[in-house]
Amino acid sequence: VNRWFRAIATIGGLRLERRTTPGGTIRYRAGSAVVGIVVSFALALAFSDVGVSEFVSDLWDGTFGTPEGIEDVTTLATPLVFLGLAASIPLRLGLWNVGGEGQLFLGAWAAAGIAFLLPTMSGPPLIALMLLGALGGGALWIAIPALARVYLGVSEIVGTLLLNFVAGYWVIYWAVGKWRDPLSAAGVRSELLPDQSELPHLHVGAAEVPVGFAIGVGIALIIWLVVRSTRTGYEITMLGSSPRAAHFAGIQTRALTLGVLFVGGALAGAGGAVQMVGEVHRYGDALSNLTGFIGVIIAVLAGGSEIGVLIFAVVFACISVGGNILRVGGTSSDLVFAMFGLTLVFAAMGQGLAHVRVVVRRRPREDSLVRSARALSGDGAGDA
Amino acid sequence: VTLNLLASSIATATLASTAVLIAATGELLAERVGVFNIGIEGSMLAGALAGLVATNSTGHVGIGLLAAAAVGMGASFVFGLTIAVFRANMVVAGLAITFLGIGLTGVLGQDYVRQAAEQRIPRWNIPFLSEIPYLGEALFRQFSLTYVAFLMPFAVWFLLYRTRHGLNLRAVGESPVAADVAGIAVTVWRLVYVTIGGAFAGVAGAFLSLGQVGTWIPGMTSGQGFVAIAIVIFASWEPLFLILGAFLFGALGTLGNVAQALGWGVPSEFFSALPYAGTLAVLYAVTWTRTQRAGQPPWPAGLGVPFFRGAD
Repeated sequence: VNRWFRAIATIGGLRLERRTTPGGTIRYRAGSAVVGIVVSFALALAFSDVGVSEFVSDLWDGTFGTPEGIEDVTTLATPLVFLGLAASIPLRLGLWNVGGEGQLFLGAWAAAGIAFLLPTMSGPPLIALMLLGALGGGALWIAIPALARVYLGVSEIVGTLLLNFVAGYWVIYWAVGKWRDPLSAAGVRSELLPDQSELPHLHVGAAEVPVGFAIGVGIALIIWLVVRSTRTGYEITMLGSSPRAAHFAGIQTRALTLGVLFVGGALAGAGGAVQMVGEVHRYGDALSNLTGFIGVIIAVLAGGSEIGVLIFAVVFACISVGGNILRVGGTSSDLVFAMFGLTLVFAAMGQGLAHVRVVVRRRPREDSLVRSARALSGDGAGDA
Repeated sequence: VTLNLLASSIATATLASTAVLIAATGELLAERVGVFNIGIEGSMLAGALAGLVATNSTGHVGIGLLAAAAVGMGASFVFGLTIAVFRANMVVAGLAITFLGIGLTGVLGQDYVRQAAEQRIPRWNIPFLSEIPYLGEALFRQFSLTYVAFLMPFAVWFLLYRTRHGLNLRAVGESPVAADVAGIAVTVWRLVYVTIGGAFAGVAGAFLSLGQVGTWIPGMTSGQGFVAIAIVIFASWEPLFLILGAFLFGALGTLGNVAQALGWGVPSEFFSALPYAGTLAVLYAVTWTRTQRAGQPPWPAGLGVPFFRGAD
């Protein structure tokens, strides 16, 4: 196989060289994500009735070209920021929080419970209390997989994944049962939350931006600062890049691992509550449509950077707008999911390709020693 | 009455565990060569849709199953290429395949939603055995594919532990570097077994759309691919234990029917969530007892570790 790769590369006049350390990772990641987005839009356009120029102008109007577009994008991006952070922070330690979906619903559940228990409390303290409850609910939902990871060594992937499905039925139990909307029998949704728990919008120029988006941006910046410039942040970076070294340096690896996972779960919970008080105003399955999983994709593309999470949350919100314009298939969300998947395939390959470099063939002068060493090892440039 | 209920519950549990068991067998093959594939959820969905479409357009359920296997293989081959050749992270690539599966089946399957399979996987009453009172009803009046699913782990066990091929296979998962030095093309083996695992996942999905459920519903796998991954861990990567894990999942799923029949008055959502929560709880309990005894659980040492010659 390697020989074939080498032969093909040679015919192209190109050569693949292995990098000893992955280089230009950010360039590859961003570049491959862009390629993925372009390819998936091109494919979707090919199957759609919408023309290219019409699509581009609609996309511009639907995103940044109009005040409504800006409102739509920031509204769609708000939960993605929270859920992106929820996956991105554990990823700094190489941990996968793929349970953001469940944590989101548990956080929103705690917030809704507080609102239904204290219906007469005035707005600001009630919302603050709800958000605090949501942090706790989300952290609680990740606690079991986190403890199992730290004390049993069971992959956190399995636990966080499966608890999403448990949370799904938890939502049904409360939204269809205890908190059922007496006015509408259809759908998994509770009655309306008390009016004063509604989160207002900010006026930015002509556009209205949800307050939740501003909160999300603020949290992302705070985490970025904490990781950059505090002792805990330094310990996280160290544990993420070299667990052994961190252990010998006396870092409390277990406590730090648990803490990072709990923060991830808590932020996912907060994302659920923000989506509820900002947009949906009810408890139910409308709070998320795989947002937790999209958050993981965003975290991967952002590569552990909180600023990257902000950028890709907005990018993915724009992709959603674009998918809605095209509307190929049964529901527009299906198309968007396929596009996210394709983008991620490209991004994943791009990350891998950061380990090799393609160079135009320039045969270096080999002395006999190098040539014989290469012949002996049977290893060369082209075995990708 | 109780014996009747028990027999019918075991029958339902066996039925409900089939898809998970097939998917878990495929996942075990992939993990035994060191590849952790969370994309099998996507492969299952693709298989479920492809199986139904192929069956309804040709009228032959056998062709439907073949199509499901082929589509599952295709999805897992893409996954294998991205991780083994393009060096992508396994979790990322798996998530990508799952998203592709959800999205593409949603887009392409819009005309087939709730369309009934024109031909179902045949049921097969085993002669004599199915006539045994209670036991026959419980175990031997199943879909033909169910018997295959429950025999497959034995075949995999034989392959892994009684053939030279299986020795090589395990070597690739346990120590890719050593296998490479011994002349085994690690990348090729990983690609091949991930692809074969995908065929299992595709057939598992088709078992839902052509057997257990009999129609196509978007997202109909409802996380069974993820459950299969949990079952592989529960089974400590031993094929024969897969049967136990899968049956446990199926049995937990039927407790709701039992509760209804006996009038326990527990909310139905509890029993719907139980297969997921229960599988996870048992997984943790088993791992806990094992770590008490023997330290680390016995996963393939090369699991999840990418292999590229000269990368170290």
